[in-house]
Amino acid sequence: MNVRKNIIMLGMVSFVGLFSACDMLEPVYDSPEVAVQKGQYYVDATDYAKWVYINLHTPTPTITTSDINPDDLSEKGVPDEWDIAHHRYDVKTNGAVAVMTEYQSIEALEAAGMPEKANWVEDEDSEQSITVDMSHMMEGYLIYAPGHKNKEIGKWVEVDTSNMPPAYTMHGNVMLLRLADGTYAAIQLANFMSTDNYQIKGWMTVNYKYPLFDKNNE
Amino acid sequence: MLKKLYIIYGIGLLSYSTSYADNDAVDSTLWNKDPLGLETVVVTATRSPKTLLDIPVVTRVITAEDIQKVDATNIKDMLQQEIPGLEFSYSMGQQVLNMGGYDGNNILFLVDGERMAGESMDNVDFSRINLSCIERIEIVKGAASTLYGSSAMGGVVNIITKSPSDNWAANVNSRYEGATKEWRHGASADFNLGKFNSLTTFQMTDADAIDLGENSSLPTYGNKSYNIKERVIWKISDGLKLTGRLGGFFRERESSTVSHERYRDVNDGLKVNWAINARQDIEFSYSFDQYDKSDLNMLTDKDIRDYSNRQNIGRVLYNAHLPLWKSQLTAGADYMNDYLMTYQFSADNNHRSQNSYDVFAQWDYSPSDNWSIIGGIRYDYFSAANYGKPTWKVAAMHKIGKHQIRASYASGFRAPSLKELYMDFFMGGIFMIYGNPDLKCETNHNLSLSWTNYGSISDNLKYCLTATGYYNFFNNYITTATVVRDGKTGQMYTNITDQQIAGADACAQFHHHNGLGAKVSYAFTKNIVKKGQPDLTAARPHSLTWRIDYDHQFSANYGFNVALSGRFLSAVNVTEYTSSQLDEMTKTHYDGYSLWKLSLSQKFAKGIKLNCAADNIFGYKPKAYYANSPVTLGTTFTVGLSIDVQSFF
Repeated sequence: MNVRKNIIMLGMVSFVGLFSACDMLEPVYDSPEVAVQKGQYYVDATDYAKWVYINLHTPTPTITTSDINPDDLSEKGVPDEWDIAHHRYDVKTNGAVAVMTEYQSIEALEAAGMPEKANWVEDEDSEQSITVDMSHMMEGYLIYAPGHKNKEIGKWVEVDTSNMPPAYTMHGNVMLLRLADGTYAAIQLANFMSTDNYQIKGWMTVNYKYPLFDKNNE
Repeated sequence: MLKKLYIIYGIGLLSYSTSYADNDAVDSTLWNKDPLGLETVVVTATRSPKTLLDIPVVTRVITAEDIQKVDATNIKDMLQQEIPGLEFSYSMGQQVLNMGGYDGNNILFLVDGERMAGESMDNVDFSRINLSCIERIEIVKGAASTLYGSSAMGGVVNIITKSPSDNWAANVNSRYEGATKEWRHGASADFNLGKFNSLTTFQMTDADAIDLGENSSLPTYGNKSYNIKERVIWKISDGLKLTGRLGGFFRERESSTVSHERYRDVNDGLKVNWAINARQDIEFSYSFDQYDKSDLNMLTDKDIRDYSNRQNIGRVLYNAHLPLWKSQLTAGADYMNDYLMTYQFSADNNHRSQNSYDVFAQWDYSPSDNWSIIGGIRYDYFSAANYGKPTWKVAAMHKIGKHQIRASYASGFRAPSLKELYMDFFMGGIFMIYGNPDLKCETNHNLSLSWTNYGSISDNLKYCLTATGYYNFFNNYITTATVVRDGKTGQMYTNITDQQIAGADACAQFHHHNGLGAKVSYAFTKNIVKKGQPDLTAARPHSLTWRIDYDHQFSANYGFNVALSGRFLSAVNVTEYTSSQLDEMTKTHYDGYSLWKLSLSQKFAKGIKLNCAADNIFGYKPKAYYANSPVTLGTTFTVGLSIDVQSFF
């Protein structure tokens, strides 16, 4: 075999070797981290047996997590002051009413001003308000807890379970809230998956503004 | 129904009468000497080239011509059309396979003898296989672990890509399928330069989701895919050949408005074939395959990888012809490093790998023209669970005139996958699925008895009949069962009790020298489970495939092939668990059905082919769409154009 043949053969071997590095596709992918922006909070609402409470009246949102006992359905760790709370895609309010606006950014809502007509929706009480234990699904039953939640805000994530895997649709419309003290707040769902490699559903990234339409601050 | 039969009869009669009308124009010397393909050289059953008539193990071949006649949309359609007892169904939005009572985990798919990395529920991502660059598909039913190791329990499907052309060839093709509005575009270029041959193939597809309506529990998605491959063969000398290859694949599935699933693959390989002398040859090969899955989060516009399977495989394969002993010896060894990173492992240990090694030998003894006997033995070792697995086989064939009797015993196994060993996954935020490091291999013993008769009924009509009966004893089937950990109910992979699979296949092929051909295949499958145990295999007991085709070249510039093909699957009751305690089950009934397809392939000016096909011509629609329902809304049409560029030069 002559030198030329050896060189070509070496070239082919090297060619294949080069393309067989440990991880040939790594540069293709993005880093999953997403920095939490100003005017945004990021909470872990994946646990069926927890509520994640948000107090918007503090300079930055105060986040408190409660635990629900799936046996007696009692809840521990509820803060004294809170405005909204997350349980996966469910949201409840502390005496507020809410409306889903047509706007896709809080700035756009602010620019448009207070909607002239709004169908305000208050929280709805139910004996089976939220699911607190899914582990018995294959045995044909789930465990629910009584309580209240706001179905208007809950529209931000639609889960169609008629097929497996379920189909998710997100509505990024700004939700306008009139809180119990008469002040207004706006929240908007930016993402409902974790910002890591696992992309776990139930991690809520929420854009917020409080107070909104506050004449004292204008 | 009577009307349908008249239509079929009419088409058959038309083909037959037309063929006789043109009988005078037929030059019998042009009749293909081997219209049934019995002299086709195959490699899968013995890992050495042998004709179909000379191998002791029954092998089914789908040729490039079959692929053209059936005008299949993809490899799945092609296999379902040609192999009775093979059915693709759906689970979690992915397609899963059943062949002869075995699920996809137990069927080994190879491309030119090489494994493919990655998984899509229970087997490889079939979208990676480009139909237009296939020379033939070899299917060996039954256990073949003695040659191929893990997963070769229910059968091996080996996809053989095209051989180099004598001079050069180039093809461009496009196809449109109406049901999913799928466009498929392909191109290939093959040329020789001195001692080099280069083959480049490209294919892209773009399909919408099919709307099955409210009665569907099957999610369907739009898909786009791109597939490119390059192969270079260098004939260094008469005895030395070097083959290098490189491939890339990308597929995007529009799974929801918030995220799209993406699948990527890169692969390469290098093979050295050295004919040491006229009686000995040896092959050294190395192959690499990386298959990734990622999610494009439409909310953050980030493409996040959550799965990567990388396989590095080295092999040596030696063949020696020993004429004095009327034998051929085949021996080989493989090494594979299998690496898996997946979101289904725990966060603190999201990647695992294992090494596997094997050695095998096969003795092929032909004491006379009428007898052929093969014996083989192999030992596989897997580092993850530190266990080894021996397998063996013996097969014999006896020829009596135009009759052939084949009998074989083979053992097979499937080593638990890294996922089954180490999974630690919170399924949908609902329950945990745990891997089980103590899993045993699935194993089986396969017995097969086959009869083949071929010949000519008259000077103008050739035929081949094959009937096969088989029995499998299957141990340690791996599935998930309920466990309670930390007070929570979850699932864990485990071995369950034994079961048996028995069945029979029959195939009849005819070819008249005027161009009329017919092929009918039947399969019966019966899973025998212990009393009280569920049959989880969902295998249809009876299935039938058929094709009647007529091929005629009217002049140098025009010819056509018209084919009426179809498949029938009998009704089946599928057992599904309704309780996590595995003590309550329900049976879902799936109706039997048949789908008929009429395709017309016209050839103009030697190099232009226009294919038109109507699928499901009798407009069958299932009452509801579940896992084992055919995804059809009624009759659909396809049209395709293929141009062989070299024909114009």
